Amino acid sequence: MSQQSVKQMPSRIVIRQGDLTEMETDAIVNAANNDLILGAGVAGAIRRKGGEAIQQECDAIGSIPIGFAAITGGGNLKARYVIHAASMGLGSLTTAESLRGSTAHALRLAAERGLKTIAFPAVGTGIAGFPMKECAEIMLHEAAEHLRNGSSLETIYFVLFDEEATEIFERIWKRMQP
Amino acid sequence: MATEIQTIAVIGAGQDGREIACAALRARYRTVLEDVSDSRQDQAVRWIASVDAEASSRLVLSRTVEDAVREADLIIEAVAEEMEIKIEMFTIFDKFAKPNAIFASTSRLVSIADLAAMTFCPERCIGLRFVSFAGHVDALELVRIPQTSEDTIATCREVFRRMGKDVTIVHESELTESR
Repeated sequence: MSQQSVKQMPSRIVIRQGDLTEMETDAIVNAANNDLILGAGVAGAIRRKGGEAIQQECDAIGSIPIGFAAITGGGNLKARYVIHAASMGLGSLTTAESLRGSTAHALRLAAERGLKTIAFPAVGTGIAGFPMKECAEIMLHEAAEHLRNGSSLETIYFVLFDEEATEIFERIWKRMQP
Repeated sequence: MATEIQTIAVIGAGQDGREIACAALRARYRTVLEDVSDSRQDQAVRWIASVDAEASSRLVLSRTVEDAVREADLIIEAVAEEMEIKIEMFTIFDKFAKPNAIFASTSRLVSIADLAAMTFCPERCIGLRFVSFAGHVDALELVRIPQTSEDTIATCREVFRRMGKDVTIVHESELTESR
């Protein structure tokens, strides 16, 4: 795929307020820990809606390094896949480096499978305690870079839980436009 | 001595922003409402129209902070509670606003003193806190810092009285325990 011009970028990254687990994208991204145990927050919501099959697939994978991602089926979710971005360990917090790495890896996993759409939450901003604004800067930057380098992904969604987070992502994204 | 206010710019069309814009329109101020999101602006317009259709027809929308503040006499920042974004807003106000414009913030977490320190006009910086917010704001506190001028306070008191609010003045230093 040819390189995408910067001009096309805005329409390929979509920010919206809503429920990630209801997204009908090819994949949704789980804010995971590196042991791939789906506990609280986004992970808990995915487990509840997607069913135990997702956790069982995660158990089969076991642990992955912090800053990486893993892919499983979507269980009962509308999305076909769940990509687990491990920006934290159980009991350790998200860092800029682990967020950058796990976001980029999640995008690569999606592109390797030829997926067209993916939806991210604000990874790391729940119990992992990462600041929303920095999260927006890092994730939007990684998403834009990924598209710029050519990808099967046509649209990358950021689906935020509340109005505040949505506004922060939107303002940061606007500021990043050329 | 109060400065005459004709145009009010509201930055951020979330819950606080749309409430303030609506009250400003109904008090016959020229009102500009800024937001980066089309959908949030649409929601705000629909909400204001549901309260007062005539008022909503006078609302001016803006997609950039720079444009919104250029002609405003009073700028009210009502963006998400995030320190760096609020600081960035005050930096833009300082650069693009009219020389005598007043900068107000609805911030609860970020201190007005910190925001004012980003500007060359701390005497024209002030905070706003809504006391009753159950669907209708009928009282608010003006949060002053030591540098806030009497003129700024008098002007804001007059503006919000014209919007039908009960206005009280508090010092930011007195609020520290609630932060």
